Amino acid sequence: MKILLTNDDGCASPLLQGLERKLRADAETCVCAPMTNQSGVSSSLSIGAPTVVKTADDGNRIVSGTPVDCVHLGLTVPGLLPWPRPDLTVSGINFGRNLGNDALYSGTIAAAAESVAFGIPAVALSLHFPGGSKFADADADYDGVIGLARDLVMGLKDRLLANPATLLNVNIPFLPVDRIKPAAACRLGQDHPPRRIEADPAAAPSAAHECYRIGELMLAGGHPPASDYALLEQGHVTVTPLRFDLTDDSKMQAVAAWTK
Amino acid sequence: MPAAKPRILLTNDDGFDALGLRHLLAALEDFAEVQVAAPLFNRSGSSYALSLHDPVPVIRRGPQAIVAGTPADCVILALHREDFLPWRPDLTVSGINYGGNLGYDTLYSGTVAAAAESCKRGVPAVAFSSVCLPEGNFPPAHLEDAAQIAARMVQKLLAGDGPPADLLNVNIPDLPADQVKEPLAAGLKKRHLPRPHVDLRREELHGLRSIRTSYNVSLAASHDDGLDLDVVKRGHVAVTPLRLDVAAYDEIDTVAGWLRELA
Repeated sequence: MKILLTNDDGCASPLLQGLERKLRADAETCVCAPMTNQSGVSSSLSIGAPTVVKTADDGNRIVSGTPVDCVHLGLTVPGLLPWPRPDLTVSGINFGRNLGNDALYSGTIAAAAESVAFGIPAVALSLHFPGGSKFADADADYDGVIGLARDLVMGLKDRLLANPATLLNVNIPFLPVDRIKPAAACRLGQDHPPRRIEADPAAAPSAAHECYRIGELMLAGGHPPASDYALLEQGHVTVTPLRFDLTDDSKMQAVAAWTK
Repeated sequence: MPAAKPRILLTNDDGFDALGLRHLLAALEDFAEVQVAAPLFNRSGSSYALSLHDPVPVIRRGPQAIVAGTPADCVILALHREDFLPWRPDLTVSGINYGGNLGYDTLYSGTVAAAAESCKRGVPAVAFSSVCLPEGNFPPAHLEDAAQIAARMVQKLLAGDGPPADLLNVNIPDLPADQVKEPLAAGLKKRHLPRPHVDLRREELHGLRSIRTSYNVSLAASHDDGLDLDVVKRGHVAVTPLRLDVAAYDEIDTVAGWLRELA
C-alpha cells in the first residue's frame, strides 16, 4: 500500500505530520505538500511560474506551490515520488471544515480531485472545530481525531482501491473520540450564501483606492437535515462522495437547441 | 423612449488591460451598459481562489474597477457588496481569455471561476476563451474577430427567453471570423494530461528541482466527437453548460454501505 499525503495548510501542519506518523505504521507514505499555507487557493495551478521542489531528510517533498501543483507534479514528474504511482492520495487533515459550498474553494479537496483526475482514488480530510471556535490552540491534543482519520482511511482502503474514480470528502468534529458519532454518508449542503465584505480604507495603498476585506460566508442556518452541515453539527463524521465532472448534461439539449 | 440597454458586468483573469477584455468591451458597448471589474495583474490558473487573508485594494477608472485580487474576488466584490456597482447586471461576461478553457482545464481557469461566482449569486454568466490553432500558436491573433462573435452571442443570450443555462463556457477557435463555423453544444473532454516541464539547468544550479508548469492541452490524437476540444478543432465555437454541484449523489448509498461494513 503506497500513499501520497498532501494538504493545503503546508508541510509544517501538526495535523499533516501527525497523520503521516500514523499512516507510516500501515503503509509506505510519501508527503508531497506545499511549503507554505495555501488555504483557499482552490484548484489554482502555478502555470508558467517555476515551482521549486525541495527534498527533506526523510525523503518527503516540499513544493513552493499550490496543493494541486503538489499532486500534479508528484504524479507526472518521474522520480518525484518513490514509486511510479501511489495507490491512494490522502489530503489533509485540514484545519477547519470543508462543507457544501466550500468544495470548489478548498485546496484540500482540489488536491484530492487532481489525484482522481489521474485515476488514483483520494480522500480529503478536514477537522471541524464545533461551537464557532475556529482553530484550537497549538498545544491541543489531536491524537484522538488523527487516529480516527487513520482508521477511516485504512478501513476504506480496499473499497477505494477497487473504485479508483472515488473522491471522498471527510469532515471530522474536533471532540473527544468517544463523543464522536459514527461516520455518515451524506450530500453537500448546497446553499450559496453571500460573503461578508467590509470596506477597510485604512488598508488602502492611497487615498485614490477603495479597499475591501472579503470575509466569511454569512450562513443563514437551518441546513437541510441530511446534509453535511447538519450531520457534522450533530457530532457525526461526514463522508460525501464528490465528482468533478462539470458538464451540466441536463442542460445540453437546451443549449443545442439554442445554438441552432 | 428607447428600451433600456442591457447591463453587463465584464471581468477576466488575464488582467484589466488584456486585449481579450479590451476588444470585448468595445464590442459590448455597442449595445449594452458595461461595468468592468477585473484583476490588476494576470491571474491565469487561479481557479476559485479568494483573497481571504489580505485586504483587496480597488482603483476606479470611470466604469472600470481594477481589483488587486483574483477573478473570483472581482465578481464577489461586484455582486456581494451592494454599493459596488450602480446596478445589478443582467449578465456577467468573463473573457475573452488568452487560450482555451477546455475539458478539465475549466476547473483551473480563473475565467470560468469568475463566471461561476456570478452564477452562484443568481446572475447568469458566460465565459469566453480563444483557442489557439494549431497547437503552440500563442497568443491568439484574431481577438477582435472573436470579440464580434462573442458580442453577437451575448446579444442572443439577452434576447427572448434568456440563456439556455445559467453558466456557459464558450471556446472560440482563433481564426479569421469568416472561417469560424457555427456554435455547437459540446461536453467537456475528460482526458487529463500531464503538463510540467522539468528545467534541468536550474536543478544543477541550485541542487533543487525546479519545475515549470505550463498549459499542455494537446490538440493531437483526439477522436471524441461532440466534446469541446474536438468541436473547436473542427473550427466550430464550442458551448458547454456547466454545473457547480460536485456531489456524486449516485454514490452516496454505496459509500453508506462501505461505512456500515466498518461499524
